[in-house]
Amino acid sequence: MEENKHSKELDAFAKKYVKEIPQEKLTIDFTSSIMKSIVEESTKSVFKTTPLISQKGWFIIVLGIVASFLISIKESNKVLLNLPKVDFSFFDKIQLPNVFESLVISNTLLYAVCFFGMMFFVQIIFLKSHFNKQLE
Amino acid sequence: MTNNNDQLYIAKVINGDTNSFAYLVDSYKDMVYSLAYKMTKNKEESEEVSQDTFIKAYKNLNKFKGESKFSTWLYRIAYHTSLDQIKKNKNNNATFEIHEVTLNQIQSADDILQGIERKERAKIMDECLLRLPEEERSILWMFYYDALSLKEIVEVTSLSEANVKVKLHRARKRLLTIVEENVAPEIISYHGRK
Repeated sequence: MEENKHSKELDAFAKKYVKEIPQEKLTIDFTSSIMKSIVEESTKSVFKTTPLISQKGWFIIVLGIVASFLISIKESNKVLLNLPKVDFSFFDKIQLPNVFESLVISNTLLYAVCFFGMMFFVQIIFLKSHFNKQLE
Repeated sequence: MTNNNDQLYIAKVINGDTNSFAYLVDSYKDMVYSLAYKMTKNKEESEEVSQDTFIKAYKNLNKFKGESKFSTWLYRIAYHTSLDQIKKNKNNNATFEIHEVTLNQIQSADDILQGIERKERAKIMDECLLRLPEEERSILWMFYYDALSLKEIVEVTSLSEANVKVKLHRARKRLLTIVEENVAPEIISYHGRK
């Protein structure tokens, strides 16, 4: 009972004085800055790109390729596709001079070209994520 | 339950009129900012929290079904965004111990505060309120300043009603302890005069 009585007094005390505390005020341009952010957000959602082939689609494609590869290994003695036979013997009739006969490619150049190609593909991944981040 | 004007503007925003959101921001910005400030105790962080609150509200406006007041729904977002901000900064306060309160204590603190000019008194009370733990501080602010019901505070904080009641009672007692400490010299002289 005593506790309840004190609660009432405390309630009256808090009610009386908390109400007197002034409310914090924001700057006048807060609304305009919010609206600016919201417009930016809306614009971003317009530019949001979705991949043409979804993850599920890619999964099915990869699964199909792997499955057909496995089947072809298993049944390698059987012919999977009956392609029409093309006669390429006419290449022998054309006597083209071999212009690359004297060309010697050093191992260093070969490694450099391979490395360049590899880095080129790595860059594509980096650039893709970079542009995706810009559009987010 | 939502104010008719709010509902009208909410419908406009959902139908693609982005500019109508400005009405809702103007109506509730000070309320949101005050709660954020009472929780984070930092003006810059409160402004950030307020901005995040309104952007989250805008993005999720279609999820607002109008079962509660729009202000309560907005308060809920502001409350949880402020809590996230506090967690991020690990901005924990040293808490005051709660002592048993006597009627005499309440009476003397009340008399002392009455003797102080209103503006100065409001400043003292604001400082005292900011020294409460953030959860008690926000509940006390919602209950006494914004006059939210216990049910609405339960909705905002996701605490049980019994828990809110306990925290509210503790907050009142702790506030009195802090006020007493803040105005201690006046209390001593007050009792000396008696």
